[in-house]
Formats: sequence, C-alpha cells, structure tokens
Amino acid sequence: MKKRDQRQRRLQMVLREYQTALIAVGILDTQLRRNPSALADYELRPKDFLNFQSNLEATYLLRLFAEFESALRSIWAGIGKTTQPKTSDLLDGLAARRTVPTSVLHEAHDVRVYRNSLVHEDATDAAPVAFGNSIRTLLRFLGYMPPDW
Amino acid sequence: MTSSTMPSAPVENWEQIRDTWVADVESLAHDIEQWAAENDWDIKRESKEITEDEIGSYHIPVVRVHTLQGRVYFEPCARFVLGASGRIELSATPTFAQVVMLRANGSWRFLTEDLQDLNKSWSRDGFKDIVSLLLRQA
Repeated sequence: MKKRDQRQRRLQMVLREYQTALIAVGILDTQLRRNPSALADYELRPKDFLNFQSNLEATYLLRLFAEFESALRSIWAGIGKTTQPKTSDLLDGLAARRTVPTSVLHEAHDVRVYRNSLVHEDATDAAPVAFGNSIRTLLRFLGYMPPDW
Repeated sequence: MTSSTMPSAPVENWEQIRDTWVADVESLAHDIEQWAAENDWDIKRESKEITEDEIGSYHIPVVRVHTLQGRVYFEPCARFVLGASGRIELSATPTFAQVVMLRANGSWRFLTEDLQDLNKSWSRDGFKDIVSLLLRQA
C-alpha cells in the first residue's frame, strides 16, 4: 500500500473510533438514565459522563489533526526537507509544492485554527469545524500529496 | 453566463474569471468528445459542482472516456491553485493511474502524480498518448 493511502487510512481509523465512541456514549447515556449511580462503582459520577460527552468531538478532532500533521511532517521529511516548520507554514509549503487548490488550503487552515483554539483556550475567535467536515477537508488535502515519499 | 453562488473571498472580475474558466474547460471537454469519436471510444459527459473561495460555486463538465482497455476520467479540480491557473485530474480504471493537468501561462501541461512533466501538449496525439499511458500503468 502506498504511503498516502496508509496515512489516509489512519485518519479514517480515527473516524471509526469516533463513531464507535458515539455509540458507546448512547449506550452509557441510556444506562445512566435508568440508573444514575451506574458509574459509582468506578468512583465516577454522571457529571463525569456529561463532561466526557461534551468533550468527545474535540478530543477526537485533536487526534485527527495529530494524525494529519504527522502525515504532513512525514511527507516534508520524505521530500528531503530537514526543517521543522510550524504547522501553518507546513500546510502552505506543501500546498505550494503540490499545486493544491487554494480553497482546499483555506479549509485545512480553518481546521488547524479551530484545533489551535481547542488546545489554547485563549484563542476563542476560531469558527468551529464539525468533525465530519474536518476529516473530509484533511483527507482532501492529503489527496493532493504524492502517493509515496 | 454561468449561474453560481457568491464567493466567500471574491477576486476582482470574479464572474468573468469564472465564466472564462468554465468556457475553457468546456472547450477541452469538446476536444475530448471529438478525439474520442475518432478513436471509437464511448464517452459520457456529466457535470459537477465546484466551490472556490475566489469565484464561488459553479458547474463544470466531467467526462468519462470508455475504451476497450478501461476508462479514463477527466475531472476539473479548481481554477485557483497554488502555482498554476487551473488544475484538472485525469485518472483511469482499472489501473488507478493518475495524470495531473496544470495550466500555466495559458498552456496545459501533463504531469505525473509526482508532478514530473510528461512533455505532452494538449493536442489530439498528446491526449491519445496520455490515455494509453494511463491505461497501461500498473
């Protein structure tokens, strides 16, 4: 399998894990509605579940972006670059080398900025990007990368 | 005039640029139809919607060429790309090979997926060579 396919598959695996987690959330939610003390044996409370539920998408978006960034850094090294650019420069640099449509680059930056806002709580002006749109954008960007490097 | 939605980051004369781009791709699709007929290849022409920040959403032709060896897909990606003024992808089944068409200084170039120039121009013979290349790549 070509490296690009492998990297795209890794992003899709994060999606599958996220989908599985959503199902698990639904099951646990049902269980807690029947028995609010269901987590007590684990020294957890319903509030912990609610936090878990509300942070789930953000958690998986961080994982998704980490896989994406790892792929970009692998490509960067694979084309002989020894520098460690910041992520925004990495996106721009690879987009320029691979003649990526500017709209695709802008959307990838939107995901990056939103991811930064999740990591750094002070950056609050980022527009949220839903997980589904994020993975579509990042897979699309990777689609313009070389098949192997 | 092509119907479209407003772009999110319009460039100057965005409607004219969009219409010229669509007309240019229409012209390429027309060439393919002609060359396909000369080679007894069947074609299917469809349309797809593209959205670009600079020129909004618009419809543009997509062409499928059916040969005895397989199919070749002509699929425009964008007018605004970094380092060129248009990108179209040609891909094939069953080989899954791909060739990238980039426009620079008004001329289309064919490149490999690794963006190595194939030194072919947009012409009857050039296109036929590219179709052969796409369908014989493993």
